[in-house]
Amino acid sequence: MTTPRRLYASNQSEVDSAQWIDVFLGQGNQHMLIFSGIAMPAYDSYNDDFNREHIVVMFDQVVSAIVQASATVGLASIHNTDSDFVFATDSVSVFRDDDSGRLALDCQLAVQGDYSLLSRFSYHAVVIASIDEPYVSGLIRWDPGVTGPRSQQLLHPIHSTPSPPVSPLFKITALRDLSSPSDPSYPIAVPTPLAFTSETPAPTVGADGLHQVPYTLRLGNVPNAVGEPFYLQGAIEPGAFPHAHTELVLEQTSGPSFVTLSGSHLHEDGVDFLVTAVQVPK
Amino acid sequence: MTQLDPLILNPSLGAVIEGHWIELPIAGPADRNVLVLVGGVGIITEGTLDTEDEDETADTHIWIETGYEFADGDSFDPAPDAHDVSAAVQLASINVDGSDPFTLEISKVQARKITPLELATIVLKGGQEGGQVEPGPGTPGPATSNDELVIIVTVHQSGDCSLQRLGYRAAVRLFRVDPNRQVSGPHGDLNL
Repeated sequence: MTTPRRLYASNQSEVDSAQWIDVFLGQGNQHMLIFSGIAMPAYDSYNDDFNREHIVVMFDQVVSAIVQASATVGLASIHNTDSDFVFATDSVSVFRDDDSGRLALDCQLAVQGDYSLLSRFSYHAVVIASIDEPYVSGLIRWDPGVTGPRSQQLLHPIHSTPSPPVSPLFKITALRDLSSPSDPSYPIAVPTPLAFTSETPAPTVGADGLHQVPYTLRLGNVPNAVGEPFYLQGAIEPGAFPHAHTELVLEQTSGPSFVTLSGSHLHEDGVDFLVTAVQVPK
Repeated sequence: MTQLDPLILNPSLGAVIEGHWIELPIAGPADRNVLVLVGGVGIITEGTLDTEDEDETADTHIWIETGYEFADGDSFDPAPDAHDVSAAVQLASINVDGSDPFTLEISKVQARKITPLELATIVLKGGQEGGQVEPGPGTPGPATSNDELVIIVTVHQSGDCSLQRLGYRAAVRLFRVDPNRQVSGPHGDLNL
């Protein structure tokens, strides 16, 4: 079994006319990806034997898994002097490269003749693949001068005593206002949670001196998370800042008020929150 | 070097056999709602793309009219980095005299939309420049009323050989004003 020779679709000296299309099928995180191009292996033969070559065309698209795939290859450029010849594209398949997660086309070639050259073959592949998942992410920031010390040290201690479970400080919830079914004659929009996250990674200090933790609200298995708008609500968990001298709230400071994810916009990054003190009216 | 430019394969004259297409609704990206898949075989009339010996070479732009006509208002971006279009072409039938060296090569492939006026202009220009504008004798086929999908192939050949057929597949991701409307064409309406 020979090691396949890799050609990269992103390299025009290895693959010409490389094109691809990505469409969202509206079912889970499944996409249909269509690839076409002309691979240029320039594989030649100087004898009457069947000379076989194993080619892999690497695409740029990273996927989680292949659901279904169909591919064809065909001769695109051949050359022979005055000998008998065979040019063959013997097999083709699509696979996911485990190291990189990228899609790739696997093709077996054969050439016979003195002299013969299989310079190019064309390919067309249709792949239904799972790609990533929708999510919203951002930073939660706070000013210790406003909040006072936190309730607990989130960083692991140096000494190896077992650390108690760390309680979350914040909760980010995705909500959508849905009509209450209790009284159809008097509809009331009820904030309905779709999903929430309560991650508590170790905080860092940002360039502006504020403490911050990143959050990611994953929505991969949430029905209708893609295609319909929702909004985010941040909350400070009870006891997170026990030394604060004022009431604290978590306010969204960047990103859209209503998030709408789509097949081409599965991620909404940069939706940040800030812990602020409630202004008490005088 | 012989320059035959352009050579237009017109489906209404039987130049594209087994041309077929599929239209399906898609959920995204947000500004695209229909995917069109097209496939077939383009026939080149015998004697059109022949070279006789190793010293004779020909570079030809072949325009394959797929027969797929876009609906009014269909829009997509043909630029490569827009990723709305994909096309592949392969050597489907060749004739070679094995006693002489030969080369047959598809060097470039692209798919694009062409207006009836643009197509008519190219047909006329090709005729004036001596290029063969259609595979059969006679005049170009009936003008299409809507923009049509064409696949443009650049072919190089030399030696005692002829190119007879090209297999093609193409896909277009587009926005359609009424995504429920399917289009018709010379090869039939899939709504039937």
